[in-house]
Amino acid sequence: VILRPGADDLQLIALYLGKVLLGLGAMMLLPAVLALSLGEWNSFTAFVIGAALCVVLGSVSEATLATRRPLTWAHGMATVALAWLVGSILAAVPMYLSGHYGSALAAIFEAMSGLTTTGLSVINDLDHTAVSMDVYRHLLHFAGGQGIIIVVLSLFSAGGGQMGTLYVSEARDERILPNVIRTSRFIYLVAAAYLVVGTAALFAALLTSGFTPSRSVFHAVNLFLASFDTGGFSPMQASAIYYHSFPVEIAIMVLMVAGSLSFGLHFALWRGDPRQVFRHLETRTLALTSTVLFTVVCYGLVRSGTYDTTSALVRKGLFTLVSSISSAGHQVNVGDTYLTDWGALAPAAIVVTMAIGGMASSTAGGIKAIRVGITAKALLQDIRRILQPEAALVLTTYETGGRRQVLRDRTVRAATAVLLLFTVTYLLGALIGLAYGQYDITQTLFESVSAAANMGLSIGVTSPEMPNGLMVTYLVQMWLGRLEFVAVLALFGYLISLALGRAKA
Amino acid sequence: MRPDPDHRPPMWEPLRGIGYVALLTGCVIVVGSIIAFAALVVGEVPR
Repeated sequence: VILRPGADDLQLIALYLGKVLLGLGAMMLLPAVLALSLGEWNSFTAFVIGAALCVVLGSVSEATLATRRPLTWAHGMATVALAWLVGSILAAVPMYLSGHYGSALAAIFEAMSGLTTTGLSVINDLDHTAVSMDVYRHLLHFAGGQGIIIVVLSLFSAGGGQMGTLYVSEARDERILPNVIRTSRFIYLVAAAYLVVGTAALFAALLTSGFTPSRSVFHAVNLFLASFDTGGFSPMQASAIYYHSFPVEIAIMVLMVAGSLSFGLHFALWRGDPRQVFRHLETRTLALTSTVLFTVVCYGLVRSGTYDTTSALVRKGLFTLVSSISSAGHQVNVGDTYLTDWGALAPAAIVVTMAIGGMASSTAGGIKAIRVGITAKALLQDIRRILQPEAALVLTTYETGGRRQVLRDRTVRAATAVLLLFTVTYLLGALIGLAYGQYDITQTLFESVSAAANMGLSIGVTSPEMPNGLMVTYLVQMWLGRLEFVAVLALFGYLISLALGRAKA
Repeated sequence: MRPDPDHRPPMWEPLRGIGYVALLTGCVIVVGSIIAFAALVVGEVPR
């Protein structure tokens, strides 16, 4: 029997959704102040309108829906799924008002791409966007990456108990510290430390590349937000290739690696325990898959005669590989290059790398290395079971979060279910792309995986001129991928029980 | 290693963490360069 959620359940969801919108509105004030100080009046008005909408909706929900009822798992899941959707629509308001987007849908696409740290962009004339609007786009990466839910949690809540449900449903279920508030504080501490050191390093690299100090600051901050939050937006249309600077690329690479590490590993590294990097199942999985895949990328590029020096292979190939593992999506190639110059093998290896993605409990997207590692371990366990006598007890262990764990069937089922859902989404997106008849399978698969894995590398399909249906497809893929399906499926379940469920007694 | 709930990180801890990540990136670049070099040798690119 499916029970229909009551008005009190919807009240709770709307209340917490309102809190998220208040957080989003507060965030919009930051670029508004920047616009004011730079005299960018159009942008200033756009941000004030966007922030006002968020604050009005948030305040109305606070004033009319306040309740002391605790949040349950189902409420948390539905709220998070809705937060990303409604948040994207409202975050798109200033973007649409900027006049740089062909339609409201394109602005929502860009906002979803920002908040899910994907980085696919459909903006027109990016190189001449207002400074405050560009900073806003990159701030969306930060808000989505560090979790708009955590922003709300740290701003509006004093307690830790019921907020835990929101945090866990945000596809980051690795608790580093026992208390959610403490965990989110640690996450912000890591981000703040990297902000200071990363921005300083990028600033120095840009200065040495001939940028003026003021432009260096602007680019350094934006590049930091796009790299550490594994987003992939760029202040310039040409992405990272614009800088033609090895020091800038190195700084971006360090930040992308940092962004793809789980916060649990950051915790271990801060505490001076680098051995965990070698023991962790995720790092082992990533080391193995990326070594094999980079070898394939190099072999493909060499056979195609794309690059003929080691330095070019490393600068173009390795940067692209790290960009796709971390799911940042910074490009050192023009989109078409993958199609025209890279042959077939190298882009295929990049697609596989994108599909796997980075580590769980980081801002990276994709299936996540832990799920691939667990699935591989389960397969090995099954083979061992077949080879052993029937009565033998076959146990498999793996290390994660500094603890050795026994591989349980429940864990394997959860990992393979998400792996399967990602694979189906990748393929469905590619099929829908093919239905438009303008693209071949390499293009549609590359772009579909890039969207669903929140990657942001583009082979050239995503553009302001792309068909609306495909834009909606990628938008949904980005949403599903960021929340790793569970929260979105829970929301659908909620909607179904609203329509078909039996009223509570 | 189990996280200590009362742990307050001293000032130098973030720098150590960032240093390790920079070192890790360095290792990735070195290993990548070896693979790239090997691929060029094996692939026999016409020059």
